[in-house]
Amino acid sequence: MPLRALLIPSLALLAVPGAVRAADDLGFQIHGFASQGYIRTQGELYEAGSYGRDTNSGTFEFNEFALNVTATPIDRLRIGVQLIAYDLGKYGDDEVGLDWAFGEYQVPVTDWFQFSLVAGRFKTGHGFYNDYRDLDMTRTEVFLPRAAYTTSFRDFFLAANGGQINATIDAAALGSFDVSGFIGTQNVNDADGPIADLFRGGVQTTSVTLPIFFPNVGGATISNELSEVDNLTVDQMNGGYFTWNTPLQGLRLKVSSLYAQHLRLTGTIESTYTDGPQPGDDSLDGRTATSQVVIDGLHWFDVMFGGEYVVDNFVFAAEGSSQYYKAILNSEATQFESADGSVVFPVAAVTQTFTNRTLGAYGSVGYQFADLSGPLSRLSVYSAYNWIRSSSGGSPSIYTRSASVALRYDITDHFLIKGQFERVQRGDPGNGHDYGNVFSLKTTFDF
Amino acid sequence: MRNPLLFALVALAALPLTNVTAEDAIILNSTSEVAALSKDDLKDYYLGRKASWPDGSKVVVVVLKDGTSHDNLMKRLGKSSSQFTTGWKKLVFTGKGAMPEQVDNEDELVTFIAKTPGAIGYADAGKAKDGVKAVAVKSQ
Repeated sequence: MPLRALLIPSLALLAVPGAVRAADDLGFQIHGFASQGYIRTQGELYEAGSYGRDTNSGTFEFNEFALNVTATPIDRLRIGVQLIAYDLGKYGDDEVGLDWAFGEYQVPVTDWFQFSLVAGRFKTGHGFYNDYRDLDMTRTEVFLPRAAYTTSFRDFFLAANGGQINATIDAAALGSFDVSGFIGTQNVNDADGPIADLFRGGVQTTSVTLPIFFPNVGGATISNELSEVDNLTVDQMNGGYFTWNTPLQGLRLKVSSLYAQHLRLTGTIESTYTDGPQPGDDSLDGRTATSQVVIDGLHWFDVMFGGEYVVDNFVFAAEGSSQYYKAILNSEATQFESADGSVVFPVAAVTQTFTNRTLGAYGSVGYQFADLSGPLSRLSVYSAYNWIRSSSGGSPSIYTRSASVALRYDITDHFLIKGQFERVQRGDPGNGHDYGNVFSLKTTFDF
Repeated sequence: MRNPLLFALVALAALPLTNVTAEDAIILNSTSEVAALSKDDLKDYYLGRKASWPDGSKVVVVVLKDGTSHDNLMKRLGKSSSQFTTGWKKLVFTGKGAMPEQVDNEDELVTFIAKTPGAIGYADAGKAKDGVKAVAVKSQ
């Protein structure tokens, strides 16, 4: 059911005075938001692939809807659930999913040491802004900086299922520290989702591709693609963060990590025999063969670190990101046959190990014209510069650089419109560079 | 000033000015056991970092939509009104906090606090009435 169907009656409920802050002793609240965007690209950018369509002609398949309910049934315990539906081109399709649903209990300790336990599905807290990826009302820019917040990894990084411990330590003259850690797992079993596409090589992300291929055997050239994903699971995902709220008001430093292990994908590779070793023998050219494949033992380690300084109406931020992946692919033996069955070309079982390391960094500055009078006080601007380097195995590194500017206008406290332009350069030293542009517009309403 | 009548008139004229600049106060429901807050406590409660009072009861933050007292509160918190609201939206939409109650004026604010255990608000100290108490904010 589209979440819009839930939002409409909820918005109607708002017409009743006081409905939002309903039922009182439980601290019962209902909130939600609706965002609709437009994206258009120029050039060969990953957005075009990850959105699953030619965004060069523009698309409105770019939205999010969410609705949450929270309550405090007893002292120190907060419970809540948020449903979300989103559409990012080929992903999401506005299917309603669970964004978060957890209970958090504040354990009584001391005044300078706050401590809570969380169980359920919760935000991971990875990086400064990952938790707020869907919350357009919390930032000026449309897209978070690509060097640290790859859109395609949204489902993987955003939330986890399990248990989390949070602590805040008041360190007097040193400021305070926020510490969090979790143990859990992740729902990624979506054969059409971005993580499956990552292994298909279908997502030309800025940072990662994991091409799956058979080596050329006996001089033949064989191309491959992961045609079907039957199952995709992650046994365990752990992570945490450490934030230092420094004595300098507005300055905080953070380091966070995510570690996913035992990711297992089973599926089918479809291979095409494109060229044989014997001149004039083209009986196998274009013939296809399938084989079962298991990608196992993936270790995915992601670390982010950075600083944010909020002073007056400025927000300065810089973060670095390091990702490392290792996966082992096992595919069954298969064979190509000519149309009449007279020629057979066997391909032995293959075991390959893939590794990828990606480094990224960005710097950004935002400013809100809050000191201006009248409507101009609702204007804010933002700019960021991204740098990414990705290398897989022995392949040459791929570089991406981009610069973006964004403008936001708050029509009311709960309704805004914004736009962003980003110029992207992507390529490697051997093959030159591609240039592209991303234009995006977004409007958001929240209550 | 030699003329007592003139003195009285000048003093009378200054009275509204005195009211405008009167010290704002942190106002709690009178059942609260809290007698004083530190500056850090004030930020922790108002910015949603602490959701429970020391006795474990729920903190209910109440704010004005605008006005002098609201502006003074933002200065104390070191936030613009927009930054304050954005911070709360981050908490609300990640499940880590409940949105503060928002009221139109200080009379409403004080009335709400008087009937809501665990409530905390910021208003002109002169608005205090039965059911609420003003508490001091210690420098540390």
